[in-house]
Amino acid sequence: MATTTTETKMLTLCTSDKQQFQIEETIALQAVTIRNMVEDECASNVIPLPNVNSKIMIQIIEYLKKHVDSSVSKEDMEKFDSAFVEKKLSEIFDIILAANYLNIKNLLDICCQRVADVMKNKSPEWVRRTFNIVNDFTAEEEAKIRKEHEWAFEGVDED
Amino acid sequence: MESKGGYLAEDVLIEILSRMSVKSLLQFRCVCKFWKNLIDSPAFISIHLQHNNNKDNAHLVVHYYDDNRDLWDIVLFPDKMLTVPTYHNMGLSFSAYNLVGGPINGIFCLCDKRERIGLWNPATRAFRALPLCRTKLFPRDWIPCHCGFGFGLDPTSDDYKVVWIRRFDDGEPAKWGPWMDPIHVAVYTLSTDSWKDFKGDAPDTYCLNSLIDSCYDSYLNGVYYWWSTHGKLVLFDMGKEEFREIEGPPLIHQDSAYEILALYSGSIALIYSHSQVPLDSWESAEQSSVALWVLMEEEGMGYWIKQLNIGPLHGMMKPVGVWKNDEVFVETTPGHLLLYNPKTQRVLKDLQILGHRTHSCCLHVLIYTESLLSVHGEGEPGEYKNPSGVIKLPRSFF
Repeated sequence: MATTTTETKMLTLCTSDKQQFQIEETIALQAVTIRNMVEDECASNVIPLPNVNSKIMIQIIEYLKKHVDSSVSKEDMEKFDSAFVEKKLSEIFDIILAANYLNIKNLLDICCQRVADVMKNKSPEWVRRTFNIVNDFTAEEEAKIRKEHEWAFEGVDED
Repeated sequence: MESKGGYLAEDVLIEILSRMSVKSLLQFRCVCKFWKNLIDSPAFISIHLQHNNNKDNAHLVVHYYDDNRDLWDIVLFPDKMLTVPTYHNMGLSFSAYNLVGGPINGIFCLCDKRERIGLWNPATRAFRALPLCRTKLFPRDWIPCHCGFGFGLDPTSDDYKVVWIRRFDDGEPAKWGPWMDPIHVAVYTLSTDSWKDFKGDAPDTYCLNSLIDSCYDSYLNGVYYWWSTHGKLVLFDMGKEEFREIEGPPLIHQDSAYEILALYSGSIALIYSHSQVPLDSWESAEQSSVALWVLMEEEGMGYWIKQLNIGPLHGMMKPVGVWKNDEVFVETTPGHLLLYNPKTQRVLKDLQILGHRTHSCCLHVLIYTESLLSVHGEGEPGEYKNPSGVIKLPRSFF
């Protein structure tokens, strides 16, 4: 059944801070969570995304718009992706949370890879600070774990 | 519930950590209890390994005999462009050991001259000495001689196994030559940390006496493969603990032929080369032609498909393994390793390895992915086990 419409179907997304974004359905459906909502007809005209704020949504839409474009070559897409993740880690964390919720696998992959690349050669102290993690080991316990693989702590970047 | 991993949910944290090197992960075990338990968990170890295997994160390892230092050395190329080899001063503690199997999921099998065997994970620097392999089937004064090693994973029980094929020499002058000495096969199982005599049906003595240990990682999906000099493939199924034999491809057998097994695009392949002059006379460099045959299996029946014709190679090049995109590692003049593109007939890279100058077969290439897998049995402390008190821990190269 081939029906062609000249009208582009639009979806309205509503972020946690009550901003509304009108985007083409083909762009939005790359997010599996949105696709499921639309397919299950759970979504009315406005799709609420309570876990995503407008600042992050703008960036995610930028990513989705690029990735829906089939005319972009593989190399250009890779260039776009590597430029896209050149952000502060705190911002990447927010995008990861949103990409995870919206279920956009490629975006999640490149952001996780970015975090892993930054974490390379970083110390456990840096990781705790950056990830907001409380060290729940006693000093003795931590010393024991460090001793198990002392060599692994060589060549770590200065904090 | 708030995530114990900090800002990020556990599934996202796993996504990130599964992309990190073993060295980083061993450090990050001390970040907090949650991270330590996660990194130590078998589920994470398996995800990390799969990520490494899938994402084309393989490294090249070259195992070769170093003429100058008179020892076997192992060199790792950490980057995929093969530009910077990491030379390892393994020291005396390591030179006593020789690689004999693996890597399987990042684990190597080693053996020293006194036939002590160990399992080694270079990424975690963990080493486990296996108990000595003894048998009561032969008189004590008979001398065991090595015929073949197989190291692999039993996929039904997720257990690592070592198969050791040896012939026993009674010390009397042989009537028929050593080819008729009785064969003994022993199987080691990691979970029980013990050897047992193999009692099933084995290929005939003549066949097992002519196995070639030419490629250590000729293991695929629970089966270990050896090439035997009279044109047969011998298989050992690690799960069923059964031998099988498959006829080799139709090769033109001649004295100057040379065969090795390799993994090629997820299959077992036989690289066969022959030339007009014997392969050991390196001075008389003639062209040699090489073919790569891939073993296909259907309902337990094996057959061969000729996948690649390589060459004719200029000069005397001996293929020793397959890299990505059908590129082939060749040894040219003994001990000199090159990466070669057979389609364009171009040398892509000189790996600057100088192996044994007079003997070929002293240079092996292995494809390695690092893993967090433990070589220790369940419930054992994560420390080096040294029952004999003799073996020193080999220094790792990471």
